[in-house]
Amino acid sequence: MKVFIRALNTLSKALMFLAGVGVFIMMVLVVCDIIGKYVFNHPIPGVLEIVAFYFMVMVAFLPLAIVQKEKGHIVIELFTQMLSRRTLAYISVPVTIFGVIYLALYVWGSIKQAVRMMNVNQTADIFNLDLLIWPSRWILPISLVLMLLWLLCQAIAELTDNAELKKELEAP
Amino acid sequence: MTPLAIGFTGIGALLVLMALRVPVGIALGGVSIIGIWVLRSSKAMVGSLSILPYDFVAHWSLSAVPMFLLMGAIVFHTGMTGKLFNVARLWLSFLPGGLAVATNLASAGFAAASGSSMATAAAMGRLAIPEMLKYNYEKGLATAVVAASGTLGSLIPPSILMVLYGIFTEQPIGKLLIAGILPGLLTAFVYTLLIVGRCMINPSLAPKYDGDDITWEERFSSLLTIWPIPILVVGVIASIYMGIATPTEAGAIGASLALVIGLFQGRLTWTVLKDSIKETLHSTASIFFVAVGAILLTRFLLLAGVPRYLAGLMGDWALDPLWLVIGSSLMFIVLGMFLDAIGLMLLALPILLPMYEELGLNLIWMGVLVIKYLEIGMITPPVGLNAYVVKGVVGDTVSLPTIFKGLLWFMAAEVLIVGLLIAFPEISLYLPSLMED
Repeated sequence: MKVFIRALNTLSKALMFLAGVGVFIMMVLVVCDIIGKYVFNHPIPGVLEIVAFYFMVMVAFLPLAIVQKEKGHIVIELFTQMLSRRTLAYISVPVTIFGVIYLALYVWGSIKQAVRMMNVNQTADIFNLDLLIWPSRWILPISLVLMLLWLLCQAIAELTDNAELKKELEAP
Repeated sequence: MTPLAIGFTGIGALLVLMALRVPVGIALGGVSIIGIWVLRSSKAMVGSLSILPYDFVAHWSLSAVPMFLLMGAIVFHTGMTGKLFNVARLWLSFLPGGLAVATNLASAGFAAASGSSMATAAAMGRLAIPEMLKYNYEKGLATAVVAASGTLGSLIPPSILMVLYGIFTEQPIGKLLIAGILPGLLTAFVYTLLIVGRCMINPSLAPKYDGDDITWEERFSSLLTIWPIPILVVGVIASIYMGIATPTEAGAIGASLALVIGLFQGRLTWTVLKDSIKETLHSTASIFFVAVGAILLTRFLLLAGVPRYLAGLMGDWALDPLWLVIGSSLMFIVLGMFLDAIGLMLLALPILLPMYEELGLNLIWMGVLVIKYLEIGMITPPVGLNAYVVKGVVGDTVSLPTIFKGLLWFMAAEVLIVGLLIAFPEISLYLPSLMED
């Protein structure tokens, strides 16, 4: 379990790093495009497509695993804050199952679509150049699977009240 | 069950799940796909999950969200916004309740640059509340002004909520952002009048601040410490307003300018850059996770015929549009007491939008009102998130009821402001009307 969680953590951090590089390059690319447009009268072709199909998908999905690890998803705390820790742990069972089913279907759906787009070799047309789009489809299932695994590990740690496991999950 | 009944059952189930701490994105998405499955088939369910999320996210207009967030995070982590309070204090301390006025206006600037109500309340709370308490300001006033003025950022551009509203209602995002300017400034102005008025009637709220020895030289030299903020905010607004840049481009320019300024001022360290990017990613991913759920909800409600039904109701009742505006304000404010702003907006828009459209309401004006309502929800008990943020900053020195009691005055001011915004749509629509299409 320990090795598994460490591997999960390393992988999630790698995705986060990629997303970070992505958001930075996205900023630089958009700025270069504007400078090109106004100063040299020559915008960079395909910025719009690359930002939309690659960088946006990276920035929106790759961090999901780390956000789940840090329990950073938006949650309404109001109605449950007066409940005891034990009750909360019990409520979290159906809640987790619900989340796992949703994420599993989400993963399945996105894999199906990624395979479909890979098979038709989806591209975007930029000035007679074909930009490959389908690889970015795989960002979804990869990110969502990791998020799902974190959710499962956290639920197991909570239910078994395993202090060691919890510590391992919260390790940076 | 009829499709319509399934639709409304879904909405009910959604509220229950969210109350049980199901993350908002999972609740929205999970209920919606079950609904689609019941109404259509398991194939349609998986189909919607395989197509809608990617198509929603891979979208140029939405890229304004990470860019605005990045700009705000850099401005915040390089400490550029921290000096705002000091400058406002030097210039405004002569007024009755001068420190509170200074906090109010510094927050407006801070919130505009950082784009986050809660970050503003947290940072301003740390700077301004100890200062006000030191001069024996009344505790309710000192804390409430921070909580209330933190909300100004969602109207003054760049605003994340406005971008999301624009995407979901298919309205021009540039015009929406510009539409928020005057209502935002109006709010800051009414807050200022409120503070000055209260302190003139009851001087014990805010004992005189011994600012007489502040020299003009000090005042002007303090301006040098905050020059990047107005340049960034005005730069972003002006480039959108004049049509030079799209919101995404304006955000990217703002973020890179903030980086360059931070670099030259020697404030941009590796840690600052890393923290700013991490924060941006965190917010972007969690916002989009909820937004994908909201997209699925829109599809589910559409299949159930809920929008058509609600729009039909509007036709049957031959309702004065004003009633819908007032009715939705009440709904937003009540639900805003329990839900966070982004989740609430994304939950409510698929339901309200068809009604707004049926009655021909101007969706840019409604955008300003919706965001105003969401902001009011940030300061109303029991959940007013900003009040909790401020409470977290002050610890045991001020109790939560004291903060909410102080906020009552600002809520009263909000009633006046919302009244003005409804009575005079021009406040919201004048500036966008000057823009080219």
